[in-house]
Amino acid sequence: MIDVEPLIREQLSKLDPLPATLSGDWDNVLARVEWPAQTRRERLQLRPRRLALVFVLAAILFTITSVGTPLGAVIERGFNDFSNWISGSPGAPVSPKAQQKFERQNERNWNGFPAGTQLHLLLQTEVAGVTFRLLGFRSGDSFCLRLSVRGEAGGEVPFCAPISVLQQAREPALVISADNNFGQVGKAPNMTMRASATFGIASDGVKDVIVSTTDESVGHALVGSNAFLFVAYHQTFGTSVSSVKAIAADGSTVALPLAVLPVESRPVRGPRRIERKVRGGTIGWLERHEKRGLAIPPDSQPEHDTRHIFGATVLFAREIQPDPADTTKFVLALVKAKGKAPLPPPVNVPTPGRKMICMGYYTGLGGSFNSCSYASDVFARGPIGRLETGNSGQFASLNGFVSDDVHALDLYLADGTIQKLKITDNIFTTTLSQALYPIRIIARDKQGAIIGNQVIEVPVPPTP
Amino acid sequence: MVRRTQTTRQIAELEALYKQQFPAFARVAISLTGSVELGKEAVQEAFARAIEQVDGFRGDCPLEAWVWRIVVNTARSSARRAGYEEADATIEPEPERTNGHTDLPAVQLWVQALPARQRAVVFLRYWADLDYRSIADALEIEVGTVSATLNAAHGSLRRLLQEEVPK
Repeated sequence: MIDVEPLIREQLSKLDPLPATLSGDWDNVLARVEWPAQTRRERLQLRPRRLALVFVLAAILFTITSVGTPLGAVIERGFNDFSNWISGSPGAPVSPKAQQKFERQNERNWNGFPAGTQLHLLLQTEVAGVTFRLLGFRSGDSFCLRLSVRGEAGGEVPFCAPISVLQQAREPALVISADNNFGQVGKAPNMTMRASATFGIASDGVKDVIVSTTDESVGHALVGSNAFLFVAYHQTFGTSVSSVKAIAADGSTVALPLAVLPVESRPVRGPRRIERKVRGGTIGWLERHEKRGLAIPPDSQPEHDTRHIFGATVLFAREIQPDPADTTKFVLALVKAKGKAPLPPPVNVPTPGRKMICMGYYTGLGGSFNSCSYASDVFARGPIGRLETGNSGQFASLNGFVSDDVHALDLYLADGTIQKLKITDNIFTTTLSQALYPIRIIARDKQGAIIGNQVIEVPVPPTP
Repeated sequence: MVRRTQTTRQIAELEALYKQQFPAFARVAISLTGSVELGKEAVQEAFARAIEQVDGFRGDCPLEAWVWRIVVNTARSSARRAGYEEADATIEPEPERTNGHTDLPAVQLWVQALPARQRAVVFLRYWADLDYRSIADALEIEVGTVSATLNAAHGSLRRLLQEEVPK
């Protein structure tokens, strides 16, 4: 008789290892627990009353992840570890109804997040009848937050960024969006904001986040589910966040990057020179109608944009997705102007018959064609054809395309670091904290010589 | 007060069990649900339910076996909702062959093709390394049933191997 036991053990041990992204998340378990009411009250009473500026009633989610033994002991990993965001989605799944609403919204977006993306509730609080819910989810190589506000002053603040933003972060927490104002009370000059929210993500070891404002008030944010949320109530109009600090369990403090107005003048890093002049480049594959990336799907938003908004004849267009795990997609299109219909800048009003290169930028949150340039002009000054920024809270996307002459792109940031940009079918994209501006983008040829050099002082006003 | 202290200690034990054995719980739940996502979700839900119900844990079996029971039941419920068990029941083992010999992955395919209860018993025995008593507690069946189920699983594998391996 065959002894099958050793064979079974051996074969089970050879089963595919668990996906690298699959790891335990005890915080998430705790967030799902429905605690008995008495326990909940007891735990709330244990929490020190320390919210000087804000009035926050922490939801169960916050309470259970921040107070008492053994729950308080769960946050014991490194101060600078975003493991829950990097390996999964922190927080607890939202209600089926909220999930369905999210999916309906997502379905309407041509470039929506993959089916099955689960929305998670990170933090919730209520301030003077206004409910603030901080939601989040992971989608491929992106992480997204959404501040949903219900009450007299409602609204939503969406945000998405590549997970590389977290992987590259040197601080234990990141301010994602600051000074989101909801509702106003009274009239200028004595107007106050009903509520003003600032939120971000926090690593496992962050115990407290302290927010200071320009009126010299100091308050504590809710911290839990690898996120933080600060809500100021009836803040004088014009008051804004001036600094945010993360506190670890051992009391160590780290000031978080924060882009504030007025923008502080800082030196532009990196070389100032051009080592080889390059003019009149092309995007060869686009000129040759080479099938890079993917075809534009029929009845999609980009197709609608090209046909109906431009009024131009599309000669050739392809969808480029620089990172297959990220929802960010671009459309590069070679079009010919048919009439005087307005086009995206910098062309605006085209000369009929002239060829143009147009670029569309689409994320899981939406997007559109946002630039068109005459093909004969786009590389007339250098190999960096388009360089565009778009703000989203404290961060800004940086996108564009370069000619075939460019072999590498280096980004010199205000903090002295250098980031290498990946180029995919002439497209580049990244997301940066606005606190890292001004930036310099350097284009190099195959020999490493500098052939393009551009500076962006400020992407957009650093407020949401 | 005593009761609360005990509950606190048990939650700490649950936390330790979760952190030490998450891969085993996840692997078994994935095998029962047929999905990485559903499997992980089942483990998360199961431990949350375990915390909620730990006050009612009578201690008539090891805490680990009690948790396994919750994990298995949660995973099975999840699989039923997803229609996995019904679909899985129709899977037939299709051993890979090379020169007339059964390749080792055939055993893995055999595991996947086992009926749900046999698969659960096999995983709990050989992946989670539970003894018969703990498996019985986890699946809420008799120890004799565990033994019979494993025998049946072994028998089907032996038949598969005898058919495939020339003597």
